[in-house]
Amino acid sequence: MSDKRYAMVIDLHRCVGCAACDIACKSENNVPVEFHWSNHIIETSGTFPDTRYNYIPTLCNHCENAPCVTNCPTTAMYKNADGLTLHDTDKCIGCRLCQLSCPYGVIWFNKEDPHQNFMRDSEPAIPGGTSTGREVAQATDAPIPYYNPARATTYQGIRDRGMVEKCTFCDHRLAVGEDPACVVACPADARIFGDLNDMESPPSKALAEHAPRVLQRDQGTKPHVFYVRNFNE
Amino acid sequence: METTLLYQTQPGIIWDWRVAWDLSLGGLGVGAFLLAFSLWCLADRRYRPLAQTAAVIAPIAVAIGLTLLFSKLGYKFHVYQMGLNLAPTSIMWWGALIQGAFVALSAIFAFRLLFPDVSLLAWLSARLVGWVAVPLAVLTGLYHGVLLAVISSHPLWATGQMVMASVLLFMVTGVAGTLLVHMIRTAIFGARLDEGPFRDYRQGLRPLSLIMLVSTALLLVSLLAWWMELRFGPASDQQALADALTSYGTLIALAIVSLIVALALCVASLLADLRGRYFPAFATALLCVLMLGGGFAIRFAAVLGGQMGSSISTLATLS
Repeated sequence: MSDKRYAMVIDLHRCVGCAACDIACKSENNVPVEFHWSNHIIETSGTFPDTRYNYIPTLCNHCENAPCVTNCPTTAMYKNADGLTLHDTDKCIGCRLCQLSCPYGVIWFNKEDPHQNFMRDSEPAIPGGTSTGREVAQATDAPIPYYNPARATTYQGIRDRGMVEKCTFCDHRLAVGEDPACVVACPADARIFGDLNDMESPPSKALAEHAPRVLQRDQGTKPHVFYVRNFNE
Repeated sequence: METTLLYQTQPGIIWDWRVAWDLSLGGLGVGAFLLAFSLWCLADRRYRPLAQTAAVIAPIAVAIGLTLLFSKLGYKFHVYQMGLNLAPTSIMWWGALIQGAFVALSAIFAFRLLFPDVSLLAWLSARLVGWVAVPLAVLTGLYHGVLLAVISSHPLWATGQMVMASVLLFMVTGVAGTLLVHMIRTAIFGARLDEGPFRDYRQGLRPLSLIMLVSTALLLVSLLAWWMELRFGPASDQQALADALTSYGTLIALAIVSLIVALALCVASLLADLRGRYFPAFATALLCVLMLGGGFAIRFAAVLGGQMGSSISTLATLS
C-alpha cells in the first residue's frame, strides 16, 4: 500500500508557455542540453486570422500502470511506495525497452557521455571577457557548470553513457519536503503538485473542481499528470 | 491549414538491425531445432545427416542472435542484473531465461546427435533433452513475436498478427535455412552414402515441402490481415502503417514477392514429386533463399518500420 500518491495537475488556462519549467528541470537535475525531462508539445492549427496555438507541457506521467516498469527486464525501472516511477542506474542494462514502451516519449538514452558540449567547449563567447563552460566547471570543481550536487542524493548526479534517464518528480526535493523544481519555477502557478491520498491537497482540490484530462488515455497507463482547463476557458 | 505538432523526442531508431537479426536468427534456430527433433524421432535413418545439420544450426543461430542483442545493450556490464532481479512481468526477462536454457539444451542435443558414441554427456538421453527443449523452442519462437506485441505504444507491433507471423516465420525460415545449409554442406563435403540420390531423398521430404507451403501461405495471409487491421484501424494505426510503408515499403514489397515466388516454387516441387518428375536442386536452393530472404526482410521491416514516425499525431490528444 502506497504511503502517498503523488500527482501533478497542469492548469492549461494558467500556463503561458514560457518553458521556465523546462529550464528549471535541466538545472535542478543536471539534465543534458539535448534531453528534455520537462518538455512541451506545440500544436498550431487553422488559417490566419482564425488560428489556434496549443502549448501542452509534458513530463514523465509517473503512470500507475507504467509500461516502462512492467517491461523492464532488471527492475531498474520501479514504482516506489509513494507512486513515483523511478530508475535505478545500478540495475540498468541500457536495453531501451522502457523507452520503446513509454507512449509519451519522456525517457532519454545516453548514447554518448553526457554533457560533452561542455567538455568540447574551448572557445569563450568573448575572448578575455567570458569563460568557457569547461573553465566554469573546473573553477567550481563540478562536472558541469550548472551541476547540482543535491540531485545525487537519490539518483546518480549525472547518468552514465549507455543508460536511460527520466523525470523523478524531483524525488530528492520531495525527500526534504520541497516541491519539484518545475512547480516552484512556474511563474503562473500552472503546476499544482501534491498527494492525491490527501483530499485537502492542492491537486485533489483542483481535480475535484475541474474535469481532468490525461494524454493518451487509451493506452491504459493511468497517468499521474493531469491537465485541467484550456487557454480559452 | 493542417495541424502542425512540434515535440522533441529522442531522434533515431531505438532498436536497430541487431535486434532484427536477433529475432530472425532466433526464429531460424527454433525452426531448425524442431525440424532436427522431428527428423530424429520420426524420419528414416537416412535423414539423420539432415537432422544433424538442423541440430547444429539451432544453438548457433540463437546464440549469434543473442550476441548481437548483447552488443546492442548500452550498459553491458550490468547484464548479470537480469539474473539477480526477478522481473516476472517483463517479457524480455522471461525471454532471456528461456533462450538461455534453449541454447544450452539444443547444444547438448546437437552434440549427442553428432557424437552419439562419445561418452561425454552419454548419461543425458538425447530424447529426454529434445523433449525438454521442444517446449522451450516453441516458447522462444512465441517470445520473438510477443516481445514486440506487448509494446502497445507502437501500433505496428501491438497486434496478434505480430505473434502469428513470428511463429510462421520460424517454421518457414527454420526449414528453408536447414535445407539450404544442408545442400551447401553436401555440395562441399559430399552426401553420406546412406542419404542416397538427391532426387529420392527430396521425395522423402515431401512433408517438409508441405510444411513450407502451408506456413508460407499462412504467413502471407497473416501479413494481409496485419495490413488490414492497421489500414482500417484507428488513426494511430493508420499513421504507423503509413510511416512504415514510407520507409520500408520497397523492402516489404520485395519480401512479399519473394514469398509468393517461393510459394509457387513450393507448389511446383510438390507437383513434380507427385508426378515423379525431377525438380532441379538449384530450384530447391532458390526456393530456400527466397523464403529466408523474404522472412528476414519481413522481420527487418517490422522491427525498424515499427519505430518509424511516432505517436505524436495522437499524443497531443487530451481526453
